[in-house]
Amino acid sequence: MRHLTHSEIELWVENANVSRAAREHVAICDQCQQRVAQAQRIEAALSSIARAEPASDLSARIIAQLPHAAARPVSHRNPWLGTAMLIAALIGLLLAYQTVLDLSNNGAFELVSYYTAQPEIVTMYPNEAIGTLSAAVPWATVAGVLVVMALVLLLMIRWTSDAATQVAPSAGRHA
Amino acid sequence: MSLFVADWKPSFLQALASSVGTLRGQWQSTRALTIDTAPLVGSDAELVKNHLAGDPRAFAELVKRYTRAIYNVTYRFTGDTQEAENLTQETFLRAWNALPHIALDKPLKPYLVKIAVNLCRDWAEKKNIAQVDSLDAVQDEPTSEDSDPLRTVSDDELRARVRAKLDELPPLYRTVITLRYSEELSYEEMATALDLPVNTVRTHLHRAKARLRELLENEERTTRK
Repeated sequence: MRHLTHSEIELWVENANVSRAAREHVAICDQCQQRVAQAQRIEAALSSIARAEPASDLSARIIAQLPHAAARPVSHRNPWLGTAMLIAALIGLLLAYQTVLDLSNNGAFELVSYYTAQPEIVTMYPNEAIGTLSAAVPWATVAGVLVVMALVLLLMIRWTSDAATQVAPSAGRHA
Repeated sequence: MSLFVADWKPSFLQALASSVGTLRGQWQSTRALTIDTAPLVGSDAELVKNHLAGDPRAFAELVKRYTRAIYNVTYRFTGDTQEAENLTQETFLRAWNALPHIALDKPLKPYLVKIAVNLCRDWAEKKNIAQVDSLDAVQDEPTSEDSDPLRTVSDDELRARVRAKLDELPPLYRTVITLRYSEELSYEEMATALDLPVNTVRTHLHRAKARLRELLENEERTTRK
């Protein structure tokens, strides 16, 4: 058999498929044995080459340059949360309007004007004055307004919190 | 009395808002503490997922994990420290933008190397640096000359010479050798990184080693003369 080509020597070094004929030839050919030995030494030398080491702070510098500042909050707000907040706000407005109507119908505003014009009534008959005013206030509706306002506040906090915690990189082109 | 009623509502709301604010602050502190103290381990795919979910430390971990490898590739290609640092940084910036679009089921390292190599190629084109030279002249048939001119060279000396001659190879050949021997990528991973068919990668590597061997042998023969 002829001598091994360089390609065959490379395959030999990589322990890849080498023909039986090639193996038999190398077993008896000093030149090919020397070439294989040389290729194996070069292979070993290549494997021993150390990595090029970057400056110790390169990672830190790269991390510092990453577009954290450009990372923008992405709107991942739950749409149901926003809808619920809007509905609650509308209910709150309706209840507030109803409260004003009830206060007006019950004469609470007139009573307050009366007490303001004649404060001595409150001074002289405080229990009666407060009791009368209290009777004119629609407490159930007022409580409903406060509960709905609290609900709106909680939903708003949750909604803004969801958006603030979602940060994603800006979209870019493929590598 | 009206003043009493008027003051009562805001004070209630203030108290409510204050309580909610306090609770929210406590929840955020607890959350931050949990995140900061949790060990940042996991596969590349997990880190990419965390990065995409908004955890800024996940990508930082990927940078720490692969800076050496990417710098090694860019330095071997350019042979310049400053350029290698710039290209390494640019690689991670490109990866930052591209990660939302990559397949998480594939290894990340070849993907990062692919970005780095593409940047290196762009750099070489701008600098008018040939990435490969014609190796048609490289003979596959061994000559009848001395079959191992390097046999008298010690292993240490051979390593030093290989290291020096590596720098004389065209950039793409330095890269394939770096990917194979220094970064220990498989042929499939190299194919991904270089965006070439596996057989072409194999051919490039064989040619690179053939050119390296030629350079080593020529130097040794010149030295003997």
